[in-house]
Amino acid sequence: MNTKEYIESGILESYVLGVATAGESAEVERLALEYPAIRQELDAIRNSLETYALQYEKQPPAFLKDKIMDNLFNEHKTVEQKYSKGINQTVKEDIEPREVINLNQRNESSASQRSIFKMAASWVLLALSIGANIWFFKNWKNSEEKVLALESQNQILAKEGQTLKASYQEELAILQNPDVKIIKLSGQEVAPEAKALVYFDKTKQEVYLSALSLPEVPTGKQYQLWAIVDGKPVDAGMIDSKGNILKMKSFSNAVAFAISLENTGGSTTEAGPKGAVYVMGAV
Amino acid sequence: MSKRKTIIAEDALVVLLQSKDQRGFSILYDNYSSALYGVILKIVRSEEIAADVMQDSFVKIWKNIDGYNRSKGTLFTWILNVARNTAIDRIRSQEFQNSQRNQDIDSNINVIDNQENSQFDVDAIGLKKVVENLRPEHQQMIELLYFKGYTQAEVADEFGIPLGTVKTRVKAAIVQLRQFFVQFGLVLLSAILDKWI
Repeated sequence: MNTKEYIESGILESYVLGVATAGESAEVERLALEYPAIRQELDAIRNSLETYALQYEKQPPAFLKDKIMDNLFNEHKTVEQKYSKGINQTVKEDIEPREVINLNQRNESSASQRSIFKMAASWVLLALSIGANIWFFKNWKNSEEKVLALESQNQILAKEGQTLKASYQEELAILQNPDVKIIKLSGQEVAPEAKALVYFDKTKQEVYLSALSLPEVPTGKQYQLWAIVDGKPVDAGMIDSKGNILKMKSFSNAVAFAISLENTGGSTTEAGPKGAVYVMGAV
Repeated sequence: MSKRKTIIAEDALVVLLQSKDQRGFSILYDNYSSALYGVILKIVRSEEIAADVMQDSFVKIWKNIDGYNRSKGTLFTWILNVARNTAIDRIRSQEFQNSQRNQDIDSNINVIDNQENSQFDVDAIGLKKVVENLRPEHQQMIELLYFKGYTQAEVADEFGIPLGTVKTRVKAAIVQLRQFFVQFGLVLLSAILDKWI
């Protein structure tokens, strides 16, 4: 459609002045929604007429506001007014405020029902909310404990991993050293299945013990390594742990190594091994 | 103009009014009563009747606010139309016309002149002069249609002008008004801001 022509036709002015027919008004409202140009034109016409009307603005008498607000909101005053005004009052004036008040009362009673319902609903929601909060708090506590446990476990694993890595690196370095001689200690009569390895670095005079496979140590007992030097066993150190690789005492001229089971603390070189020899091997 | 203007978003005010909230009607009254009262008084030309029409208008606003939406223009446009139509209905009612007939015509005219003079309180910004510069036939059109509730056909009948001419004049009158108000828009805006804030 041609909006310009429509605007020129003067129908918008008629509409704003309130002199358009019902059909025309409906058309204007529909077209205003559809065409921004018509909407803008309508606004401009309204503005100019309203500005024109505002020239006449005048403060109403002071009593009027209370009278109007009472009429709308205060039932009793309206009833009093109605009776004091007597029979001269027009039917229209009489009916309108009462309708308004009925509307008001209906609103109030349904409003109070609504507010009771709202209050009940609020309590239910509050109870549900508290329950949910307790449940969530418990779950949260549980989770926190689990997380702490997992964290410490994780730390232990990490430490163990590091230790293992370090000992393997150490062992690897020893094995890759061409100066190191690997001596296999084989099981003796008391434990034919037992075995162990000694890494012997003659130049650095270092002795390492590895791959221990010995029977479980009875309480009060401890394994002890001996080096055979000049035909005599010399204390080479106590075996404290089942670590991957243990550094023992230094020797440069041992010919053989052996492990015996001694009382805790071990025996001395002077006394010699007192318990049974479990494994033994020559350099 | 009221000293107690409440600044409130129009949408929020409409919600208050539609829920029949007393605060909404109080704000509506404070913000718009002088505009509504001025237009009503301009139409009915009696303070007593104007107060009565104001009351009727507020009852109508109360009853019909649910039917208001933005497609009908701003809230001010809508309530102004309610007030205007209520006032026009009153002057067209039999009761009103009977009471007017009893008054002396000359004194009536004097009263009207005095009222109109006192109502031009935006004179300070020079708007009055501009509006007076509207061509008389244009001013007459706006007076008859906007303030007396004539239809265009009634104006044509009463003044012996073809309906087409009435429509052209109405159009031209509003175009002229718009030109004035664009011209004076800034002055007017600053005056309104000065008054309202």
